[in-house]
Amino acid sequence: MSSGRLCYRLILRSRDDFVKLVSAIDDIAGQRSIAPSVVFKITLALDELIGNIFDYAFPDGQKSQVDVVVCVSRGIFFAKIIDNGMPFDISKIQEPELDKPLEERERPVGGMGVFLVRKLMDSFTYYRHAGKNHVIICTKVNPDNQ
Amino acid sequence: MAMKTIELPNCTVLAMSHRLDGSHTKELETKVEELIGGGYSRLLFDFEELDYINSAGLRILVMAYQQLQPNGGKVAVCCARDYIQEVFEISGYDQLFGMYSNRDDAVSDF
Repeated sequence: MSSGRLCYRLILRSRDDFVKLVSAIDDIAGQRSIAPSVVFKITLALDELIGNIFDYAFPDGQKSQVDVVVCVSRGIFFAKIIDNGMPFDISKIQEPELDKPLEERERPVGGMGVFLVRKLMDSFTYYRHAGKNHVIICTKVNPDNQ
Repeated sequence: MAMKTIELPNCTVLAMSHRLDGSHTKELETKVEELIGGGYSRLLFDFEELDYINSAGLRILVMAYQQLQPNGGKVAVCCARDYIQEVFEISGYDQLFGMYSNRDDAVSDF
């Protein structure tokens, strides 16, 4: 497996633009022979994060822009997601109440997407900088060989 | 996503392929609501050909469970790839639905 840095940068203007990111991830996976199970985790994490950003960070009428950089380098995948929406710390979304039976949960399915991101990625960080939300995730792409 | 519905004597199989995300989630939700509304109370989601599901897709299964389980219905999943099975385990949803590695076992358990 080549260890040189391979990156893509995309600007997403709507939820539907996520397909462009899926193509970029598939391209990276093809070039770096990343296992389908890892491609799935990466795609799912980005899907959940970007879905939440478009759902919550842009109140009606605000022009939305999500800037995504995805990279693989030295066996590590990382993504930086920057949006110009309202301050929104996605890492603070309440986790699902997994310790309670479904019928007793106040939010039977809420928070599951971000919970999955936290479980599937090795790191998940949020910060606000220069008036924008920044989220960084990363994971090993060849975990069996580490 | 392509979706095939197969009516068996003891359950209805919803076999999906490719990706369950984006607009496909709404398509599945409509189909599930149509089946439940039509009195179908035993649903088996066959994921043998499914490559991808996100939390919105999982939510449809939970919705079906919430509507069917209190009335004696049942929701089960079969043939999920290992990495999709892992998502069910992380979310705890594997404890809600019957999870089967092949369709025959799932069908005979309904």
